[in-house]
Amino acid sequence: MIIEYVIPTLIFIFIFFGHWFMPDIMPSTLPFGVRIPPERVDEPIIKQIRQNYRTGLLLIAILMIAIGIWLIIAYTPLFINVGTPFVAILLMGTDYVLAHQRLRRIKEREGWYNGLRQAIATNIQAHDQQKTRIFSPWLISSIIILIMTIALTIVRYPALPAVIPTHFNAAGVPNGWMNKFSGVVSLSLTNILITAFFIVLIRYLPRTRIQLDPSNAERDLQRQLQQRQLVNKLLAITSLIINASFFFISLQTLQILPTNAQGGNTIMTTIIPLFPLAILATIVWLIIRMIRLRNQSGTQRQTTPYVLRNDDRYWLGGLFYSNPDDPALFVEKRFGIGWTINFGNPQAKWWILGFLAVILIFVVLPPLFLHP
Amino acid sequence: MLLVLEIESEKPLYQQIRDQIVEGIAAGRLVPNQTLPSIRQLAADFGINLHTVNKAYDQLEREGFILLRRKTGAVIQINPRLAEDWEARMRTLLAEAFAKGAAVEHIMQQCQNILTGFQEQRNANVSLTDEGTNQ
Repeated sequence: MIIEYVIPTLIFIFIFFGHWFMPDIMPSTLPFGVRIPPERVDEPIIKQIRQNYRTGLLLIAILMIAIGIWLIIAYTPLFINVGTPFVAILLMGTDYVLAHQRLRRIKEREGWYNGLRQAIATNIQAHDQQKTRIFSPWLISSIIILIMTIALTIVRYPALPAVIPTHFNAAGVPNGWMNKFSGVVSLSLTNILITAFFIVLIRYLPRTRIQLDPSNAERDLQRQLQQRQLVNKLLAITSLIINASFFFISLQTLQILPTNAQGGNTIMTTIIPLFPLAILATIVWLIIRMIRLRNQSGTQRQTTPYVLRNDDRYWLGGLFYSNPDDPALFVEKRFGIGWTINFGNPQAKWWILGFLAVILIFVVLPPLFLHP
Repeated sequence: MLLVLEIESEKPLYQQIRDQIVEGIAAGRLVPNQTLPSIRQLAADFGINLHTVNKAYDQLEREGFILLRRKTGAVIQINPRLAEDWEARMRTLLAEAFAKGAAVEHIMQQCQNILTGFQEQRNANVSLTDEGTNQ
């Protein structure tokens, strides 16, 4: 019961602080996803918009907590369980888009780019200078754990009963069963697919675009290379944590761990919640490192007449990127960590269909195999 | 080596890429057999159309600065023969200065300075790469 409150609450707190600190993580020449020239980063209006944005976040949080508490008292805790993260993302995202639109209007009205020479820049050797390894010790450990889980599954398979538990409640008591073949295969397959997904991401990462700010190209390159190393590490560690949690879940489905009278297991109920927490901790670590990285690389214009071009027109609300001229399929987000798809790319629709198909497979298929 | 393209320049983007790569070779920042990013990679880094980079690489190949290969992409490879219209273009450029009454010595001095600059940069870059290999 407790876990049904704790997880959504943790996610809510995470979403809140993610939005709160996002203006500190993003480059100072991209406040609220609006491209501005380096000489404008200290404009008082940006500070004011940031304050209003944060006031908005606080109001949304207070409102949501109040409604949540009222729903728990008056109706059922189910409401916070399902809806909270979606509503939080929607409302706080709206707060962001409003801040974006406001700053963009002011920038355009005051002509912040008038008289500046806009340019784009890159370094020919940038991609060769990357020191990220695909098979870091983290990723290798993750793959070793995957192999251990699969090996354990193969060894234990003959000894399993025809029907095995595959789903457990918060107390570790099974509440879903499958016949052993589909149960074991779906679990292993999910584990393998997730690992493959992380390997593909880590492999693809060094090939994503390195666009430099011509006003401070050398520093910008160093910052981006270091940031890539961090993201590479984050992906590998996340993969390791996920595979470790699959390993522990397997211990339970393969009935290696002893169970108590209710068919539950106290070790599991203490260990399993640690994994999402570990992933959260890794992300928080990344955020702190990125803020530090951003603060190290100054915004001072070097001896160059150029500033990075004003490319706002390709960004809808500072969230969605669409530029048919740009062959890049994935580009760095302007709000949040990671990449977003270039909707102007003809390949984009296939990728979106692919993502939807994968989500559908994971949502629709498991219930079909569930044993009543 | 840094490439900077000015968006609103009168000089087209492909021409800017081509010119900067030629100057990079002159200054020794790019050396023979060094690979350049693929057309797709460079266009993606800039966020510009593939055809723009394609046009620049095509011209560089025709002029004997690079070699385009299907698998490895583009490689710096110098064909020592000067372009047929090189003299004609230099002629026009010199005519611009001479027509305005610039002194011959002044024009020659400018040429000398530019060439010495390339040579000095090239020497500096060579000693830098030597240090790199020694380390």
